Amino acid sequence: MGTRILSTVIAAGIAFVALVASAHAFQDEKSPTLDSARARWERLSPEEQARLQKNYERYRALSEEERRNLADRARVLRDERDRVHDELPPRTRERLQQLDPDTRREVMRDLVEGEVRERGARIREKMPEALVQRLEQARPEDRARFLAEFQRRARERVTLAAIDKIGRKLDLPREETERLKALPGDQRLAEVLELKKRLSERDAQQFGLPEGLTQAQWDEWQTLPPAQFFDRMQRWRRERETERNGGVEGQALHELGQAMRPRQDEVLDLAHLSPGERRLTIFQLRRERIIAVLRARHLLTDDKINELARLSEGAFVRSLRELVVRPLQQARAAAAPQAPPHRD
Amino acid sequence: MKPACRSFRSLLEEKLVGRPDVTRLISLSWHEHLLGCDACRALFESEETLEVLLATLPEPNLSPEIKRRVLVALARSKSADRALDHLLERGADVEVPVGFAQEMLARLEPLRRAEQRRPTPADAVIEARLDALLDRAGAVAAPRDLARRTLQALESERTIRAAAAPNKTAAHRALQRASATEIEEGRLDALLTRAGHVAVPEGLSAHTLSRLAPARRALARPRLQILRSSWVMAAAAVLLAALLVWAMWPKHAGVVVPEMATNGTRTQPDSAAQPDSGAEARKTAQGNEAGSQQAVHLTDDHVARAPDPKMLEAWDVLENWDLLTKNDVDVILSTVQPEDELLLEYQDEG
Repeated sequence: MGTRILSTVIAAGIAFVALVASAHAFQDEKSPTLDSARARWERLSPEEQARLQKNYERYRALSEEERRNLADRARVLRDERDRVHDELPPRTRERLQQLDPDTRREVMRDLVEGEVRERGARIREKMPEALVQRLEQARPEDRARFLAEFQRRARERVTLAAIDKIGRKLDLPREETERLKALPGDQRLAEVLELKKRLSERDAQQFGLPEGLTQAQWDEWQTLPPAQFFDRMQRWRRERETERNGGVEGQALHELGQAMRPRQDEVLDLAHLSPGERRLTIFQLRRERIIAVLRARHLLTDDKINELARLSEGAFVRSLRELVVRPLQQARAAAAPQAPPHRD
Repeated sequence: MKPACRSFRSLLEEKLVGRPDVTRLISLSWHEHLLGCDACRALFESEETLEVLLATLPEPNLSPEIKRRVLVALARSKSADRALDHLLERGADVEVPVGFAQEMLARLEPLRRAEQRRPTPADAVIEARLDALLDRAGAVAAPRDLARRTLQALESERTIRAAAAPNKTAAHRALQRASATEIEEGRLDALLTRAGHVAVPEGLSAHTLSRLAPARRALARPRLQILRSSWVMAAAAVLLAALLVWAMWPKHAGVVVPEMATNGTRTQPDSAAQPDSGAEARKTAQGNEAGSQQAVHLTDDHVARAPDPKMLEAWDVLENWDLLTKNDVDVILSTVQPEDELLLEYQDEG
């Protein structure tokens, strides 16, 4: 009897320790709070601690505005990382868990960076072309400041107009619209997101669910905070609308987008490579897919394609954008039908 | 005794002949006579219990002479039992003299004391005294409580012995254990009920145990298994503690690379992945190399001390420093927050 009790106690102890160890391991995967940041700091090698310390000295040398700007962008990156982590398909998650912690961290970083660039490409499409060009031509260290300045002015200028426009669509009383417009900047901005979510929900009731979306997906989306709801909707649109908008240009853009899109399984398949080799191989695979689309749709001459194929990743992407994507977008915009309700 | 009882008991006696084997009694446990006869059922249960007990004991190793004497003594005891049966059958009103057992035991007292005082007596002498004791005892009823006390004293040894018996098959041992578990409690109750309130001879336990000492020494070996079992448990506990320490211990040996923090500092592979950066990439690489050298110097200064809390607050920035400060246009644009992305849809309105 005593032996059984002892065995049970030990088994329970092992289970508890496994749980603690598992939680401890997963702590690394989650957003760093102060405690987890401290824990991660303690696990770094002296060289890496020194490197982070050096980064911190650089950070401290920045102006307060620059620091705030960096912190805002880092928070968005962290949210993106959490989102990618949470939305991993079960099979991908399982494969990721089978990797050793260091490789898992590297692969996760690549997955997140792929998603980050995909999101950046989505924002780029919405940005005024003049601003994008200005960003491209600016010195790298000035880009973030230019973007931040653009956003600051847009917040002052566009939130009022957005509240007016969405308020009219929602038939908000004039007093309510004025109240929202009188709110401090940050609150007003948050209200715009809230109004946008209400508008999407009303559109869904009035016109039905967006095409291709199931009721279960929609119900899940509705439980999300406005910012996440909007982000989810934007990603869904990007996947669906390029294809739906039809026309030769729309189809070509859709196929190119699919070819460029990061593929989680591909990254995991290459997990055994060093980070540099993995990135290079992933780029080569993407380039092959893109070139196949260019050839199949005769979007460029063979000479141009061969020239493109010899470029490095950054130059390849820039050239592709200049030579193919932008002309296709302009052509699609010229031929675009009137926006459906869900675009408002 | 009724004929049916005699018939059943002779059948039972036949089954009990030979080495102890509980399985032989199983067929009798369904005998129809047991359904209507409480006395025979009680007898059967007690014999069954005894059989289980005997099966767990080591094989006796007695000399032929001792065997003969024991059998003689048992025959006398058996005849005494028969006489007692007859006596009981003749009338329930026969009264046992008060203090009979105590008087008999009192007479035996000097002999028992002499037995206990003798230092490490030779087996032959002990056996001779036992014979004398048995001869003197004659028809004295054996203390019924002896069975219970003996079982208690042997409990641990029996358990270990049953588990350790190497020459029995697993099925056989399982059968014995199962049988013992099922019937032991009830049968023991029956035995104790039969024992009544006979006075216990003083020093009987000590005497019995001293006689069982050789057998107990023979059982000492399985104790090693208990010991081994304890060692296994101890090893498991140590392993558990080590696992806990490992889980909680800060890991300095295995380098944990923060997410996206080392894009630039992994100079060669990442430069290969970003060949388009050209001079900028080389500059970054050189800068990083210089930074690495400087970092090594900084190591001694910074590593030992606790990190600045403000530094930990900026962890997101520091960890993604290279990605954030590389200022790739798409990466910068990706940090546009949802509300600002939404405003892009209304920029023409403003």
